[in-house]
Amino acid sequence: MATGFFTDTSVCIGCKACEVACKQWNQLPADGYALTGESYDNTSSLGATTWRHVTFIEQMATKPQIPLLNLTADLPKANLLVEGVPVAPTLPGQDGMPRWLMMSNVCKHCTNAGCLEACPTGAIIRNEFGDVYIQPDICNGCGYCVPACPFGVVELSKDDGRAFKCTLCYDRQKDGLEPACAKACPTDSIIFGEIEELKEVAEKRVEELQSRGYTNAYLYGADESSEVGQLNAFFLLLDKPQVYGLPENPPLPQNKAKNGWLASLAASVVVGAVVAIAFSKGRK
Amino acid sequence: MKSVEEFATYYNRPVLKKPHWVWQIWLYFWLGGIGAGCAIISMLAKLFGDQKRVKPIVRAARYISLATGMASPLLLVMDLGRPERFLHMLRILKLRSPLSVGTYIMSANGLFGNLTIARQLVEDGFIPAKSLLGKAATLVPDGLGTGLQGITGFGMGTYTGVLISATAVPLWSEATEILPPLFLSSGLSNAAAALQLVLLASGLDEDTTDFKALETIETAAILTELALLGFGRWKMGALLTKPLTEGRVGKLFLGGAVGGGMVLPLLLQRVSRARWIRFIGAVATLAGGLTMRYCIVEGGKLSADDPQAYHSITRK
Repeated sequence: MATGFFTDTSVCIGCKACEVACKQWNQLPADGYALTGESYDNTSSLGATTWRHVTFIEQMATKPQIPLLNLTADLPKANLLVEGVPVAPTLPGQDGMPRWLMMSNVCKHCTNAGCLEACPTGAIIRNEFGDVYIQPDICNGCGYCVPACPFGVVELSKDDGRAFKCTLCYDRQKDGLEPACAKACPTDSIIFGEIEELKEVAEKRVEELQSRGYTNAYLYGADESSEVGQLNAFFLLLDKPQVYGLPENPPLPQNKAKNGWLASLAASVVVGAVVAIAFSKGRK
Repeated sequence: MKSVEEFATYYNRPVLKKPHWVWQIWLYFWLGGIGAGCAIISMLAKLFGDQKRVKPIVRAARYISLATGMASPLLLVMDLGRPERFLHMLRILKLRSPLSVGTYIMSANGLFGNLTIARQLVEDGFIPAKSLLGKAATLVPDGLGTGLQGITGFGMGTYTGVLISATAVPLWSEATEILPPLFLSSGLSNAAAALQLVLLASGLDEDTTDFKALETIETAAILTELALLGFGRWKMGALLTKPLTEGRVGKLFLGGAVGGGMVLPLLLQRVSRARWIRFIGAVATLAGGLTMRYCIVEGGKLSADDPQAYHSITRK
């Protein structure tokens, strides 16, 4: 049984407590004070020193119905109650209301992990909790895991030279504690637990949201449909994966190698024949 | 051709992380390819060629392999984030990891290269034949050493293509059937050019060595490269191949690698057989080979940074 995260983006409030808790517990350095202008996201991406990253997606209504700075104007009739049950807008602008999506992104700890398969030193392993872990005493910083990750999670540290990513708080798990981000999350958007149990919770949550009108709610990475298999960190999303910066159908890069080796073999035979013919013609 | 579809992205931020690889890697791809080409050429020259006239080719190939074989591991170790841990590569063999397999291919190729160069050094009088070292150097039969170096040479010439195509980078991963043959052909054309350069500089002519064979190999390899690139462009379409057709890298690729490194040498071969023209042609092929490796590595980084390209290959 593997442990992992269920990240329910529908209750994420973008407080970034997960980012802070992760940095604190794992003693990760700060990344500077750059302002991106991209909503409240000044972290931008996961990386060697950022193992949780909250994305902010502002989806504006096509026609703003509330005139700016005119606070006395009547609010548009947002159809938020149907027979006493609250109904949330499924598309921005559908009821004239903008939508603000937030998601706490993290290493997916894939069942078939590209980084793990790429690693030539065996530094990247699957630990006793079923999670993908980089052993810092083995990693020699070759960097091959970096482009092998279909989610752009792993990164080489420029200062340190080695590859780093979320450990799913291996140290805390060993002591029976939940990871720092899940512990800090005030809305339980990040839930830690056994994957099978988390999936039950997640499926119930999707049903609940669907029944309340969030017809776009679905689980990302909670099944075996893609090459990377079940993600030990899976998500409940409210829009297409691309909107959150996630690939719709993440590939396992090593699946390409077989055809590459076959092409190599074929090329070797052809090239060998050409060279052999070229030299045998020179025989007198 | 794939249809062009606009995907929603997260502030147009890259979805993937690009590799950190800089000059060590593209220089190694180029040198390793030349070493591989030399190993293949010397094996097949010995097997099929006119023994007297291929002797200088085999000799030059072994010295070039020595140079590339010494530089390659140094470049790769330099590139590591923790160079002192380079031996960790050999603590495990993972058949699913082209980098792990490649490490062993390179190690084996280097080891067998040592056998052939040791014999060559004895033959050339650098190591006294009667000394203990000289006797040890000629212990393994010539044919066995040359054969093993040649066979691992095929792996050496192709594995780098498999290595980069087994990533999530669109430009590389969609070219998994193209890159290994392309790299092998490029290594071969460059090895043939390097050998011609050395043999021309040594003042040899058609009677003393088989220049014709080297020219045939170079021409055939360059034509193969052009065909593979054309096929790649047709198969992958404009969006995925954009890094190699547009911008700084694209200009360098089309002008330098394809124009200067493939088309120009082919034209020069047709124009004249004068010594200096052949010299220029060989230099152009070599410069083009290096430029191609540079552009493919740098183009891969641009491709990794392009969320549109990645989303287009990962849609359901």
